[in-house]
Amino acid sequence: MIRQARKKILILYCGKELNYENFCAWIKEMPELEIIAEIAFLFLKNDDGCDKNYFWEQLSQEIRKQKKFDGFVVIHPLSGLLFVSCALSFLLNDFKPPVIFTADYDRPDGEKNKFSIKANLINSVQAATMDFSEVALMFGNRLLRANQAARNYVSSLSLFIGPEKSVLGKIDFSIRILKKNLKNIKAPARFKSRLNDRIEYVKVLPFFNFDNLRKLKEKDGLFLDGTGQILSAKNSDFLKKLDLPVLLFNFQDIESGRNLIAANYLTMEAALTKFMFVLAQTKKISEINQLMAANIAGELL
Amino acid sequence: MKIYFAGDKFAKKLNWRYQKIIDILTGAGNTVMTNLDLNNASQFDENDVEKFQARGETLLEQMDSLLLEITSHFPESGYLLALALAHKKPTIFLAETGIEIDKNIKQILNDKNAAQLLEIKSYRPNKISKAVLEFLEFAEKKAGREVPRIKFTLRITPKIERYLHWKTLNTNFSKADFLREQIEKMISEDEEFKKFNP
Repeated sequence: MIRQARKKILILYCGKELNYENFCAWIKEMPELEIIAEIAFLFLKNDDGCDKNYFWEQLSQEIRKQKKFDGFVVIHPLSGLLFVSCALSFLLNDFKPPVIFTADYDRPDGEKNKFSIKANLINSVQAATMDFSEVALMFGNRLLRANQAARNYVSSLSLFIGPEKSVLGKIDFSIRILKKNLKNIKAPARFKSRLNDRIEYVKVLPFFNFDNLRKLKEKDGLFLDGTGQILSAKNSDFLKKLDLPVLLFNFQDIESGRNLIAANYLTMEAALTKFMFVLAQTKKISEINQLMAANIAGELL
Repeated sequence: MKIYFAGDKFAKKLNWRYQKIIDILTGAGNTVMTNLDLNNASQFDENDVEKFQARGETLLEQMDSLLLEITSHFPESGYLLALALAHKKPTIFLAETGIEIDKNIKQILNDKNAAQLLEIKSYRPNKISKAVLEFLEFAEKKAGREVPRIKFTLRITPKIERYLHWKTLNTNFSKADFLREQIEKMISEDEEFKKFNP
């Protein structure tokens, strides 16, 4: 029998818990990884400052330039994981090798959690050797499409959940990739690998006064998180007069029109990062509308 | 014990060997699950599978040990080994004598933690029973089977209770110790069972 050549997997560490020396020592405790694939490591400092989109762009560029690898595993803190993985799903929408995110999270006392982190990493490396083009999350017994996932607050080793079609793989005795759920975008468009962070994020609570939005300056977009509210006709007319695109998330019974873009078909993280991505591609309202409605990276729920 | 047995599902010529391994393991009272389509293998109850899935656990975590037959190499063997070691499951690689073992797997034995849980055994096809029984001994020891861990409730008559009390009075043994010793003695004298246990 002809043995396949070993796959080459790059593990990028973007965590906060370990410095470089501790990270190397931690990896040395896992000689099992080398059984699965030829492993290389990259330690990226994750400066927890405000300029997160700069780090997301840097991460995507770093991955793109690593041409000799068959797959990638990114170890990132739990905090912000959904945002970074969603952002990368758009920045790497046309990227062929799989990119699997898992977390370096606080390890409470208890043997079970230590096993889980190691098992997640092993499963991530194994998934990264497989033949599919997605940015995904690996936790517990599920591989999920990142831009359709949400945090699971029920006690479980699967820290994230998503709709049935976001489940890219299940782990029982091995990883079974669910081909029917893989994104089916035959000729993905090539976009600029940039994100525009000149977005105002506003949470609309029942007492919110829309007049406050008049003071917005130097922004390229407005993200309104409706928290399940209904947008009145008066407020809708007010928003239409603003000279910038407005993404309406989590409003009841809303439709796109003019500069208003309805985004109830996305998770919050996917909606915000997609908005950042689209605003980096174009300033034209019609094109922004078109791109927000398009299925760029399998994100539509 | 719950044992996961894996082999190359494309190596049809080895099916008879795989079946023999499963038969030996089940004959010794173990529950065997496998990636192969063979007789005498078990599956988890659907309700149990749902519970594991809800907890985010994999089925592999529920097993006590793994036996991987790698005479015909299959790509998943490395991954299964890695996961088994991560979950501290004793694992044995069985390969026919003369088959070259992947050097990355052999290198694992240099790690002292992994070396405690992994054995790589060569065997001749006509000595397969011996190899499997040695695996059982290794797995039971590593899985902590020698230490009594399984709770067993036994209702006894007053007469039996008096006997146990009388037998263990002024000894260092508890009634439970005494009963375990009697059962171990029965096991060692049971010729039929010895076929499955060296």
